[in-house]
Amino acid sequence: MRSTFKATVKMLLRTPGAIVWALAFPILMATLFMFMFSSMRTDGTVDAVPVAVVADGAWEESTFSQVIESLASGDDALVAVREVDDAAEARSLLEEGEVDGTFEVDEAGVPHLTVAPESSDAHQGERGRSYGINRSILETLASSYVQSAALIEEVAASDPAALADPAAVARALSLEAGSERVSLTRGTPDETVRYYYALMGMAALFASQLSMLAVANIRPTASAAAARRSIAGVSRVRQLAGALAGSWLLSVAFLTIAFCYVRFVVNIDFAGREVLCLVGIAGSAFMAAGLGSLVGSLPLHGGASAGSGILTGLTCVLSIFAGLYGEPTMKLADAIARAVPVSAWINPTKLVCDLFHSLYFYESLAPFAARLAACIAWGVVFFAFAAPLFRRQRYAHL
Amino acid sequence: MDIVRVTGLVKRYGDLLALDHFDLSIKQGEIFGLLGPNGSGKTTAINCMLQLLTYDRGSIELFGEAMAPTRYDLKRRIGMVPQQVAVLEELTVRENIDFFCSLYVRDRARRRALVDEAIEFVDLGDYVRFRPKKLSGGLLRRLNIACGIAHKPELIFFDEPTVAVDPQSRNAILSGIQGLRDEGATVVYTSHYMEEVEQICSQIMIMDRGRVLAQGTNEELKRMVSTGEKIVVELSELPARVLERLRALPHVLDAAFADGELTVRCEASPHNLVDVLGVLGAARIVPGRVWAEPPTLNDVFLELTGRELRD
Repeated sequence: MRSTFKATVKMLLRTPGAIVWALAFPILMATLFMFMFSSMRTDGTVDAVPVAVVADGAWEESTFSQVIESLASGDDALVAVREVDDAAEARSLLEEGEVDGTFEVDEAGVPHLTVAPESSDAHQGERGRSYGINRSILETLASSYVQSAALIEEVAASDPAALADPAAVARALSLEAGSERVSLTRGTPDETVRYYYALMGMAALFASQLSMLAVANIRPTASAAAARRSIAGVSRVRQLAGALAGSWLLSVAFLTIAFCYVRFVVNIDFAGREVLCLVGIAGSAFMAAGLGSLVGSLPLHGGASAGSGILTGLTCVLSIFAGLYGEPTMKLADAIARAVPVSAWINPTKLVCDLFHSLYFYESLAPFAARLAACIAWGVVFFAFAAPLFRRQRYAHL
Repeated sequence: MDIVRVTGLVKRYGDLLALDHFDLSIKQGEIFGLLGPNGSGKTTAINCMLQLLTYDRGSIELFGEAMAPTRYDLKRRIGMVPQQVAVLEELTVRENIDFFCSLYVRDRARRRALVDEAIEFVDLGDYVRFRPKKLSGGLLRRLNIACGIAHKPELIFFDEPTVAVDPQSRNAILSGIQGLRDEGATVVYTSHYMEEVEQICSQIMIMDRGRVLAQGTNEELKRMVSTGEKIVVELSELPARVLERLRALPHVLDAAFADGELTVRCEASPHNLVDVLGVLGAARIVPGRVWAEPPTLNDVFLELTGRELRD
């Protein structure tokens, strides 16, 4: 078994087709993606939100103006303030798209926020991409202030002495006072990472070519050398085990190289769970080995070339439904996954894509574990179908 | 002791009967020649013995034990040099020999020595780092042989190992096979080259259409056929009526004239040459060179299997 393992690894490493599809192609695609998405990717920080304030007397006397001033200072300012003389001028800036909102304080010191509708002309295109987020920031800022001010007034009315303890006031105003913080997502959401995860799915499926070739080389009908192997003093099962172990290990190695390229050269975030990614790669490679052995066991007329053609076609088609080929296919993949959730568990490319995405997106490891288990289960199913096909094949030659 | 004993072997491919109650027994230390036209069942018989093919009826015993697909203990004692070159294109010469040897011998140190010996045996020392596609036809055949014999098998099947090989390589292969026999191996050898079989085989079987036609030593086989001698006469021309007279002679089996040579195949008789020359003299034909030769294995083969072309 060890010698079959060694020979398989050597043979596959010297098969140009296997190297191209299972190693070079994913790296090439990742490089293409890197250039394509370079303009879209951000570092996860938010630029200061441009806001106009009506700097009249009420503004100057309000506490809210001090809050805004503190938020507008420093290197990581949350808002960029433009002071105007009256509401009309502020509105004009808003309509022109110069600012994303305006603040005005009434006589009672209560701030009022004015924002433009998302459909407004000034907030379309490149500008509109950040407008939704900026608008939310301004709304949160205003409502938080109003809530906090109301809370302080209530405390002052019911227990004036409590205001003498600044720490108690700070606790009362903090988020932790009345709510429990639960993190659902792990990383900073970045849409482009999904394409790289889909690429990992494609790479995993391309890796199935390795086990297909390894199995096809043992089928007694495949070649004279294969027939010679089948009359040897080592059982076919042991030879098959060695060949599959070799092809699986090589798949893991190729996928790890592709992963390292995506992680460290393209600099794609895997939420700091690189070790778990390697576990995921091992599971993906197991599924790919199963698929490859199934195709390699089919009694195809064209032999390994026909098997390679089938796997290449299958990989390219299934990658559509993992959203690999751009925004339209990503939307299609999402739509299909929403309409037929089970499809995400049936399509190996999508499954591997979601495996990595679950590591990136969810704090909990349960979604990752479920997908890893699905990969292994698929591998077992593929092997179960491949085994009788392989066993039934006998040499037949006049 | 019989190393190989095949009894009543029947193998069908659909309606085609490839082996028809085929019997075979080979003694230890023999080089056994298996002859037959294309499609006669030689390779099928070998593949059945190796359990590469299933068969419909009959029994196969190797080394005195019943052979079965899972008898890996017996398989480890067998070597096979197939008709087609059966090596792995991606591995070098040395890696190929080592790999096929590893399917029989696990111990790495012992294997290394065996591989070195096999390389020396086929004289491929200068090509150990070459991949098969870089080798000539003759070198490939030698590699094919090395892959089949490196593990020092006790029983070796050579299925037409000298096809497309130059005379020098052929001689080397034949003397190598005799060397293996001298070291104690039993060899089953199939070929279409009669002179090779005559040269190295101690027992010869001629088979056709899945059946055994004749078996014996070279001399025994020659005695089994009608041809006693072959008379060849060089002539510038030969009228058809003279050829007919020659064919009508008492012990003549057939006579043919082609390319300035008259060939007369006769049964064994002391007066054949005198009779042939008498007919030519009566027709006032002056012969050039004249010679008579005993039947060859080729004559035996053609007489037993017929002269019509096969697929």
